[in-house]
Amino acid sequence: MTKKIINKVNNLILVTLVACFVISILTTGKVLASSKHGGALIIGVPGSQKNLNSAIYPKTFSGQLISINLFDGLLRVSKMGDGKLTPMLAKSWDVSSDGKTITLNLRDDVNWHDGKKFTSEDVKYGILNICRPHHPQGKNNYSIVDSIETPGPYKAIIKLSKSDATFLTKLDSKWCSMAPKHILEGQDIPNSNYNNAPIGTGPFKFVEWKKGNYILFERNKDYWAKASNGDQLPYLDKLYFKILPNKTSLVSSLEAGEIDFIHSYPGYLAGKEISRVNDADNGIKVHSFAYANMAFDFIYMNTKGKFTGNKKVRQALAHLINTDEIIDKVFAGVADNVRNKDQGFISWYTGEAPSKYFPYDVSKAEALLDSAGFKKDANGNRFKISIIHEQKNSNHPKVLDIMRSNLKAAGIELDVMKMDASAITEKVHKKMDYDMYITTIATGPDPDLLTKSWHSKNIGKGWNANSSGYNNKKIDDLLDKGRGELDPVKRKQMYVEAHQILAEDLPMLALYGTKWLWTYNEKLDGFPIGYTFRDGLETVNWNGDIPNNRK
Amino acid sequence: MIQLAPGDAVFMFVGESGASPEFEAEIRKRLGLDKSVLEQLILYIKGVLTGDLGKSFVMNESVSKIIWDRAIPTIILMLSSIGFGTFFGIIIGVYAATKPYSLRDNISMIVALFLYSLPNFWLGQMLIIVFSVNWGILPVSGMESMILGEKNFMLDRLTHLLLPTITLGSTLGAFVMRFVRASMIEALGQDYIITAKSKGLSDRKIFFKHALKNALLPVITYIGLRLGYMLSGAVVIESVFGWPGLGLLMLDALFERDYPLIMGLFIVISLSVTIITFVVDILYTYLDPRIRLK
Amino acid sequence: MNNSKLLKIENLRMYIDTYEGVVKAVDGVDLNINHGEIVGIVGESGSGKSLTSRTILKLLPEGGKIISGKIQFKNIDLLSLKEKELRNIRGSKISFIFQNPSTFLNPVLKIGDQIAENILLHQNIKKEKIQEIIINSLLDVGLRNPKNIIKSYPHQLSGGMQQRVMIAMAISCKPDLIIADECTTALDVTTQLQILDLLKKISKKTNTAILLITHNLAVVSYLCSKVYVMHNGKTIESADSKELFNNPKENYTKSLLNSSKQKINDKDEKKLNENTLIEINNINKEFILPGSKKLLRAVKNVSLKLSEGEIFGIAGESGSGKTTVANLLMGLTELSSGKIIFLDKEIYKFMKDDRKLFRKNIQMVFQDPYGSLNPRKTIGETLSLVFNIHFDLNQNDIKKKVLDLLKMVELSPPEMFFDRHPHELSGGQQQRVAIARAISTSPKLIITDEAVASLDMSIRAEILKLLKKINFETNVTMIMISHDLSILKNMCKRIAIMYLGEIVEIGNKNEIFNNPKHDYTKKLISATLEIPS
Repeated sequence: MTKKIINKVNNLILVTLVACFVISILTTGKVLASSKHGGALIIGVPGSQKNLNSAIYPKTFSGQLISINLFDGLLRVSKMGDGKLTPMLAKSWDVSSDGKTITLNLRDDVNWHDGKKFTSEDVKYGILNICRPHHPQGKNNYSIVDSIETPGPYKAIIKLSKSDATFLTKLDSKWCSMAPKHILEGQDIPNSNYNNAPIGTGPFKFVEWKKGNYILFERNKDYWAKASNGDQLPYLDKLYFKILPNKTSLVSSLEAGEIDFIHSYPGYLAGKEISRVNDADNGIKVHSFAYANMAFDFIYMNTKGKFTGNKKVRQALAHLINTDEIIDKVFAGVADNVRNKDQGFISWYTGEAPSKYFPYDVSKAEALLDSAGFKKDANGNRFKISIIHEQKNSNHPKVLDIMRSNLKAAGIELDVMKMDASAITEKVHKKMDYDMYITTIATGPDPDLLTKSWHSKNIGKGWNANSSGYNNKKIDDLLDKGRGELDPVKRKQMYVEAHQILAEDLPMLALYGTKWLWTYNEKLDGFPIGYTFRDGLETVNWNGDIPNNRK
Repeated sequence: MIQLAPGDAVFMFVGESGASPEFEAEIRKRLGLDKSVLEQLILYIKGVLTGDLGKSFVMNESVSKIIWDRAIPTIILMLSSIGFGTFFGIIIGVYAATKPYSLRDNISMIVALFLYSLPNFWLGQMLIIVFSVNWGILPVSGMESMILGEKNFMLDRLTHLLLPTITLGSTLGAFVMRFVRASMIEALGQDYIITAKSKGLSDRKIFFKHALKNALLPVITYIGLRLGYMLSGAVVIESVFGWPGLGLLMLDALFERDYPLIMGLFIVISLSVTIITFVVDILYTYLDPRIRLK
Repeated sequence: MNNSKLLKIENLRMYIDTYEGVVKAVDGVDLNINHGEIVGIVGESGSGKSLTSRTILKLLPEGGKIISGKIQFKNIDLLSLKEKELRNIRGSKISFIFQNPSTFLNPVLKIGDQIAENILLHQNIKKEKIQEIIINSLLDVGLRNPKNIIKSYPHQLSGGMQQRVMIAMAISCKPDLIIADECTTALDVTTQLQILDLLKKISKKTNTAILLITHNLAVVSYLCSKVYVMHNGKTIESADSKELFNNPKENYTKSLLNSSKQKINDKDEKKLNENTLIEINNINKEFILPGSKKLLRAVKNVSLKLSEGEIFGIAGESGSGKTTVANLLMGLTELSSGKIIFLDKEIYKFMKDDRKLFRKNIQMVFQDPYGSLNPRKTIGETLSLVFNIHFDLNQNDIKKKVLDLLKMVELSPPEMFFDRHPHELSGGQQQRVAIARAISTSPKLIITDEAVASLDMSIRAEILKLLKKINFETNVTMIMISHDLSILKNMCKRIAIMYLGEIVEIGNKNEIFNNPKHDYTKKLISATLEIPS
């Protein structure tokens, strides 16, 4: 009997011990899981970076994605087209009634990565001595800045020579990342070593850059921003940007779990690569999706061209292209048809479609071509026209295949030419020696961007400027006025009018809205999807479930 | 020459978002592109003669430093690929030569034909898909794991090296294989093989002591000659495997129209090929007693 | 002397499968060798004598198969042995010496290693002792300074030394039988004699039997006690050496003997006119040796005078400067000093002024006819080319001329040879084509440089006869360069002996042979083997 009791006691003790053990394991697990902090993230980037100073030239898209994590702007502009501004380093701002004086109230709790305080002196130095002279668009953006006053360490007053409704958007980190005066003052900025190892105020600090291999950032413990639930940002301890120039290897790395995240611009990865990732069942759940952005694929039409110089021909070409077929076959449905709703340029701003547009309709196209004098010959042919596309985009060749057969239906032969970016600059943007050219343009956040593409002063001024050679006094006038107008209602009216004209003249044909693809390990949470230009990764986290090889 | 290609360094410099013309002009001046091509050339040659390869347009560092930093991964990759290709090339080549026109010979030669007609990048990607994505036993890319964890440092480097080595080394291996086979068969037909047989040596000894040593002599020169091709192969391989070497750098430099870097790379690469060829010649004279310098 | 049987071959047949069908390489060979005996096999190339010797140890060529026969070595049936057992006999009981030591020695292995290999394989000897054995065997074959030789590579040794190394290798395991396959053919006459004497000495000293395979009857008569004659893969006659030379039974043997004696009728020796064709006046040629910067005086103070229509012989060993003299006469290299007057003109100036006329008047015939003919052109094309260059003729006339030429060099029917390529011709036929090309320009002077050295005896005799005929019919002057005095003796009226770049003796051939004055001449004459008659 006693033995039995002893046995029972023993068993009880054993069971209790095991239970305690299990519970302790579970609870410790819980304790860890309750915090989203910690872990590393490895991001695949498709090219080697040139420098990491977001303040002077965020040259490439991936460069922007990397360097932006080290920096903050003064404020943030919504990408969604509503023009909404949110505070960053400036907690609030006032615009005087004449629009020429802007007062910024800065945060007083922001430190540079080296521990020094961020003050209004940095704002003044940053805009006048770094962004304005050294950012590629600095002269356009800040030429109207007369002076910047610093009445207190956390107050800056910007005086403008004339009012500009778009000026506040230029304080976003895309144009104006804050860089430290105490380090950069007196340096030769373009040649400074700072550009390879910058110090900013952003959520992550620079640690190491192995050229051609990877770039490493670590968490900025003193970061000023908190998440909406009160968590200290950023969540991740480390960010690795791994350089993988080959697309297939980039996707393979993601599939093999070597990288966690690919942030690719529209057209960089083709639909089939993404679906390969989604269809694979290799233990690591990979999740891909798209978010809307005002990125459109356009066809530039040379308004000085032999055929495209004729407005009727441009309209006929618009009638001939079957965008629905393109979206269906090339993008597996993951793109927005903007043809039939509006012409894409700024309807996200005007909120209404222009009254005239040219949907897919072959018979109308034929009628237009006939009336323009390009009749069919005995073999049913009208003319031969060429189109240029950039070699890096993997979707355009397929788009143009469809377009070729679309045009063939009306007796037009399409000659497709593939070129690299710098050759396109020369041929299309500088010499304007082309018929058509297909490209992707991200629009927003302000309708003023139309100035770059359609104002006659920007003819031949380089990449994606007014390369159609479009010259319309009325448009010039509307765009000039629109930029200076501070009354939002009147301003909108001007752009609606301009939009109508452009939609009918068709110096450029918008085809469809493409989507940015963020492809990442499904365990990750908190991506700042589609909110601002500033796609920093401070909110990204492993949601308490950090894989062993990311600890 | 590169300046004749369409495209403009300044454009590549300011980026796709475009820049104001004043800004472009300033950059042009800073990079020295405002001078005539002839002037630029004279300045450049002056620099090269004094050992200064200039400064990269894009990367804000001196060209020689950039190249030196990136040369080591390429040297590692080249050495391991040469080792791999030569080793397997010789083994299989000798194996095939032991019985010319037999099944083993035919299979080896078909494999060789297959390997050297295969495009490098394709082979690389197939290897990645099989070994890394499907089986998950080897890393896809890079030279090292960024987060080492409990992994052994050397082992980690080696696993990263494996796939690029196989990819780059296989073409060389295939060529060496065929070359060794041919040169072994030739050596086996020489008179001294009859002498060796008449001494009563076993076939194995005849193969490895008498024939192979003679057969390998031309192979060494051949491998030296292949080096130039291998360097061009490295450009592709390095981009497929994200290997941070000169090939990747070359690709970047060409894409960016970074003239000083491109020129620097050309100079360094052609110089090293010349030096290697010279070293191979010296090695050859050392290995072949008949032409050993007195 | 132990007279017991060492090797007995009965009815051996070895056929080779090739793409063109079965070649009956060895087709009925019977052979006996006793202990310590030196036995010769003679035959022309293609008679199967070399393959017979290799078949003894089953060193068969690709596709070779033993069809029948029996090979008894001591009390072992060699043909029944497995490969592994045969390997134990190769190199240890039976060893080989091959014709051309420069190709039969491995060029990338040191001499010492190549000999050691053999010893280590067959004898249980410690590595430390092996050095001693190698040195001893090198000393045995008469090589001085064996320690240096061990460390050198084959190419660093002269041909004679290389052959001695081969012999040292062959005797290193004290074999019962040495098979010497044309082992002196590539050597100078004086070296040849030394090597043959060495073999004789070795055989006597160690009671080793030697099977000597050669096409040179003189060598056989000098060394062998018993001779087998092979023809078309068969042993057709065997006899004691003296018996065979004095009283050959088979017709083939008789013809072989006759052609070897090279008796050419002296009777129609024509009168020479006294016109001097070429005058060589105290010429010198110096080279700077690459690498060492040493001055090599290849030709020293050579003076000669040749009359029209004369056949003049230059004899000497390799390195004596005789080929350099030929090159100087051809204008291929420049003189260091002295003068050559050809057709009353200074030769180098002549060549520069009128290269075409010069080339037309001096022609050369080389040792290796195949190497001097374009393998991609037919014989007709090659010969037509000469007429195209030197004569202004239409195509039909050229063809007629070429056919006449082919007839002249006794290639018949000429129409058939006209369309053939060099590789379709035998060595003798190729040499005839080379001669045809040389005489096609009707030159005043033809230089033949070892033109018959690589030919079989019977063919050699025919070619020499042809040259004599051409000299008689066209009155062309000839300079014959050879290391073989017996050839010159039959062909030339006057002979010059060259030694180390100098003419040590010059004069009428009878004078030189009967009453040689210079030591070297004496040595050369005594080394020249002759078939007893």
